[in-house]
Amino acid sequence: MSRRRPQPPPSPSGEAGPDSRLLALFRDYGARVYGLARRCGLDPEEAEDGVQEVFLKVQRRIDTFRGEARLSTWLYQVALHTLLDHRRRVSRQTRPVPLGVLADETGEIAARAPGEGPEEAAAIEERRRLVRAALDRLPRKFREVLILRELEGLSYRDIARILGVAQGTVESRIFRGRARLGRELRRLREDLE
Amino acid sequence: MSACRRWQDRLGAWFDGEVSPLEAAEVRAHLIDCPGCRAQVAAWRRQREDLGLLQPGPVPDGLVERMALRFEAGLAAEVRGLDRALRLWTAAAAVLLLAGLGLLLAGRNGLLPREVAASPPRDLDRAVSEILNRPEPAPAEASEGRR
Ligand SMILES: [Zn+2]
Repeated sequence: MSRRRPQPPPSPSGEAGPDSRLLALFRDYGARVYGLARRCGLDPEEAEDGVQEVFLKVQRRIDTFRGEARLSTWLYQVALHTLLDHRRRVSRQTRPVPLGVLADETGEIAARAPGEGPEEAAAIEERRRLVRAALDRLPRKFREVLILRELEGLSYRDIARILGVAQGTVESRIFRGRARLGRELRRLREDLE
Repeated sequence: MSACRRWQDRLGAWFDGEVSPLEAAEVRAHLIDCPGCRAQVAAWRRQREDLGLLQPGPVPDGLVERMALRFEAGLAAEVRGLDRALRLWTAAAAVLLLAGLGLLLAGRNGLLPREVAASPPRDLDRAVSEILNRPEPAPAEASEGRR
């Protein structure tokens, strides 16, 4: 959230109507929210749906945005909550592909380094799916701090603001989350062998 | 060989770049002496690499614009939908009023209309079924079929 200076929403008293304010917000933060959606485990198509859902919620709740809270913090709160819910819903609907079966349905394979052979790519994809599965098994309170810290790169202070908890709580959740994730990864790797 | 309990908080904060330069120097000095804490840090590093695999590629060109257009269209549709729902409601309420009046008159004549409205909203549904479920009129008068 400190990577980019958030722009305050245009004043409601200007000629711009609420819709154009919202659209400006969408253009400023859409990519950010999309990235968060992908990091929460949504595939590209689901992430697009997730983004729509987030901004519809923003539209309905824009009046609850308190000026003193930073806009990006507030947006993160709404987005994280909505996207993790969305993820839970879609993963309940779709049958999980068993680990060990290779599929690039996550779209994350696009991040593959150039010059990688197909076998290496397959191994990396397998590892990626394992990590995603392990992360999915964590209780939400651990999953969200790890996503915000390790994937969004946010500071303890920013995470604490977003989650509305003390910084010490964030610290201990990250610590315990790492331990849990390590255990889940070991368990999944053993199951595969 | 496990990490020292009393160092764990600081170790974690250091790993996340959340300590002062002085504390960082202390942690580094401890790491030189302590294989247990080094192993902990190594495990966190591996996990960070693992998690890095979940990092999505860059947002495709034009995606935000496309999503914004979809969002705009959705907003417009929502407004239109609301408008239509309102008009439908008004129309349905009028139908119910007329139907109620009809029922009243029909009741007097011992006749009940077969259909009140095609697909009225929920509250209307309830009102209609309430009317239809009223006790049967006297058998002689109710021959004209009621469903
Ligand atoms: Zn130690």
